[in-house]
Amino acid sequence: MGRVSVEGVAKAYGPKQVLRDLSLAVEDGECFTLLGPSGCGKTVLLRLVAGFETPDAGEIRIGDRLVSGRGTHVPPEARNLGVVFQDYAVWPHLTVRANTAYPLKFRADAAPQRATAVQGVLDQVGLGALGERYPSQLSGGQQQRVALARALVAHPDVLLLDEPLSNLDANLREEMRFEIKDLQRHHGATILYVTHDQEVALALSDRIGILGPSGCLRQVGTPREVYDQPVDLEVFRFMGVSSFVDLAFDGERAQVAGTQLGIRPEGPRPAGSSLLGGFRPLEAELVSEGGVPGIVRRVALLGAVVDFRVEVGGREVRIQQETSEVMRGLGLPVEGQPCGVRFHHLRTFPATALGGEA
Amino acid sequence: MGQRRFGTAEILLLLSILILVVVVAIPILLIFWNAFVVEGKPDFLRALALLKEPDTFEALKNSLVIAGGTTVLSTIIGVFFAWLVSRTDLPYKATMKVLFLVPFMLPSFIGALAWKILLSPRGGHINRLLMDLFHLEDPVFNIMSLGGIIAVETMYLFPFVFIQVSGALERMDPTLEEAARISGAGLFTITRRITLPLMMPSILAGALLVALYSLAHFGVPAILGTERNIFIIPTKIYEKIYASGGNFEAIRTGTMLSSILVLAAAAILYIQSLVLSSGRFQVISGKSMRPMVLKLRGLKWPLLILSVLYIAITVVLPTATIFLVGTLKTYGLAFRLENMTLDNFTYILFKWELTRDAIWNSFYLSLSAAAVTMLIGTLISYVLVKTKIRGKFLLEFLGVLPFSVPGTVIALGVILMWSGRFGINLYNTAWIIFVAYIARYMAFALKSTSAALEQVHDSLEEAARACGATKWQAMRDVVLPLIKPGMVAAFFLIFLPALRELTTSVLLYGPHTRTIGVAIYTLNEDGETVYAAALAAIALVIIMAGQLLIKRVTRAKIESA
Repeated sequence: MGRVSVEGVAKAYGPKQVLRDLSLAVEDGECFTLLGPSGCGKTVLLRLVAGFETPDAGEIRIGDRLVSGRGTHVPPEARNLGVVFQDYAVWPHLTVRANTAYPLKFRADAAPQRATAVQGVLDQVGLGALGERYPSQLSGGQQQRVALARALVAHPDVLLLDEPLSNLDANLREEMRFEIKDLQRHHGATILYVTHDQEVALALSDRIGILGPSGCLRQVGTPREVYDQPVDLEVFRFMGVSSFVDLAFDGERAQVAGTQLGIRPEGPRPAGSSLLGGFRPLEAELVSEGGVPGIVRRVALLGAVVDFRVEVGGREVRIQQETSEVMRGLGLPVEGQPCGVRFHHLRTFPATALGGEA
Repeated sequence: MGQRRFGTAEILLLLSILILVVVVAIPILLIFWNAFVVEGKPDFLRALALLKEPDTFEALKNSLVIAGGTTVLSTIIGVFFAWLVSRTDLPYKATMKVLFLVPFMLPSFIGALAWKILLSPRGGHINRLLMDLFHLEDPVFNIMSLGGIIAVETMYLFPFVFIQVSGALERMDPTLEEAARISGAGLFTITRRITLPLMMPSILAGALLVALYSLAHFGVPAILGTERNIFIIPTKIYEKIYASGGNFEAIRTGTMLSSILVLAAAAILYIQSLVLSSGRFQVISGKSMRPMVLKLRGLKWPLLILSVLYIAITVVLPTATIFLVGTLKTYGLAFRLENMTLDNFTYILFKWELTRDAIWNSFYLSLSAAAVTMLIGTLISYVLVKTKIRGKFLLEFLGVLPFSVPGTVIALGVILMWSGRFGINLYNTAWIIFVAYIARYMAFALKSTSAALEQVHDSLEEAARACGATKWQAMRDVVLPLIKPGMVAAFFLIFLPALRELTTSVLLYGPHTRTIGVAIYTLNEDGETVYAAALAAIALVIIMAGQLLIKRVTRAKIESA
């Protein structure tokens, strides 16, 4: 019933082709996040699903119904959606209660039922006592909850969220993240969530779709899959802080800067091509003896972890280690000091894919 | 929406274009057509010949002198007082700031009337007083001169500069001045090298507004100049059209002078847009900050007295004069209680048909013009701000036109358009004034409603659509309530000036369609000074009541928001 399917959709604004031949399906009751850098067209896709824009090509279905494409365009108001906008779009001239009750105006429900429904959803988002306030009297996080309550009150089949957390501070963002997840479990709505924040995406989603800058889907998978088994270097880089070293292969054994590695890197290994080994800051450590030789360039004590910039084989890489471990082991190195690097995990990527910067 | 080739948005666009074409574009085109096309052929030589005629040449020269003089004087006074209330420790600064804006609310032709009563060379009360006191043969002041016209216009136009400059001075980032001070510059150097150059765009913007208004202004030069054969372009147009009894040659001369006015106004607006977009405004932030304040020390009280005196002379004195003269039994009697009566007011308000009609005409014309213009303005702004359709640029171009058309020109254009040439003859009816008011005040409506619409983010409307509202329901429930304050503001911005309008109505009135402004003007021309003053006094009361009402309404809006 709440399945959303997008098939071969393309959209251009003037000469700029934003989306080309994009297909994806969000299953009923699933929380699907579309993750991508700003300007990749993810908001455009959301607006196409909502019906604010019409696709140049392709079809969009909600449930079994064709809503866009083949000459059909179902207007937004007839798509039974809940939308939460990036800027909340809470109406400043209406109270919290009136904002939340608005979608029910277009349903046949009787008045007492409506009032209960509104109070119920306000209680759920923790605004039960603030119904008579105006949005200008609320904090950003509270306004966001109003937007959420308004999107949920009419029990839409599909909930569309456009970076609703990006304007909140870190603590509030974390809190809201869990609340959205709880609300979705409670209501069972299908969620299409659009964001550039990979942390939110990982925490919230059943599946994540990664949209590249050119408007093509790079990878679709569970949070674990896209984080741990990225299909390419761009996805890997997009999912978190990453560093790279040049890899050479001597049969089965891999070398970095002329030093044999103790591990077997994962990933494709096409013969004869030069390869990169990618890792996250916590997937390597500094060692006092052995390892690949490097030079410590920067040391920053961040609290629980120490952040190192280390030059290895001509590239600067980022390594993080627990502070207590560093203190017990070799102690805080000084900048410019030679050191050894031991890798716990490396993924291989074709070297041509990496641009000048790392 | 995008699927259909011809939808609601296209219909709204066409309607908006049609309204602006009929109300503004065609009248202006007709003016140029009549001025430069003779029997179907362009003829610019005649226009040149006309400019060489002594009386038109004189009018052009006077226009330049008066606009130039008023602009320079207004700029000096406006900048000085703006600096005084925003950058010094002048006592009662806040009160003084409000007082300096009062001249804005007063119709300048009523001020001119008061000054004529006070300072006309022979009959002026102050002149007579001074002559009696010092046994002089000749009057001291002559307000009915170029200098007099400049002085009176300055009194009512300097707030344009004052508002622009005091606003900019308050918003200017004080660190810019502090940086200069740390570098060792003295206060005089800072003012000359830092503050003044930064203020230049605001000063110029205000000055150009003054130039635009005084160039197109009818009331003051008509009351103070016409009797003395001092004409400027708008009063010359009026004279040509009335003296000739509507013959076509006179209208043609009028159209040529109007063309000059339109071109001059367009040039001024163009320069202003260049000044405003020069980017130098960026040093002025939107935040309000605490500016550097100069200690006046010993000059504190003398400067306060000077400011109060300025207000007393330019605002209180003329207003009191109007009210006092309005009570006299006969003009020329001394201001003694036994010579005064309130009968004049009851006569004007209830008994005399001419003035009673004028008040009624002004009321319903301004009310209906304000309502209609506000609604049309909202429609056009909506298309301009909220829709994305091809052909919008045409509307954008047409939307700029109302800003650059002086009142006299609108009147003439409306005469050309609605005098039967195109099958509809509205001449001598209230309708022609109504149509002219719409054209004249369209700019106000566009400015106010488009500003309001720009603040309503698209997502607010889209959120309503996502909630299940159709386009019209979203408009009714979300967009309209949110722009209502802007619409109310537009209504009052049109209603109040229209109530006291003179420049346009004076060319369009018929025997039964005098407005308040026209009635005051014609009463004065007929020598009915007492009744003119009494009617002016009533107009002042209405205007002040209106201003108070606006304050009330806008304040209630803020509280409920």
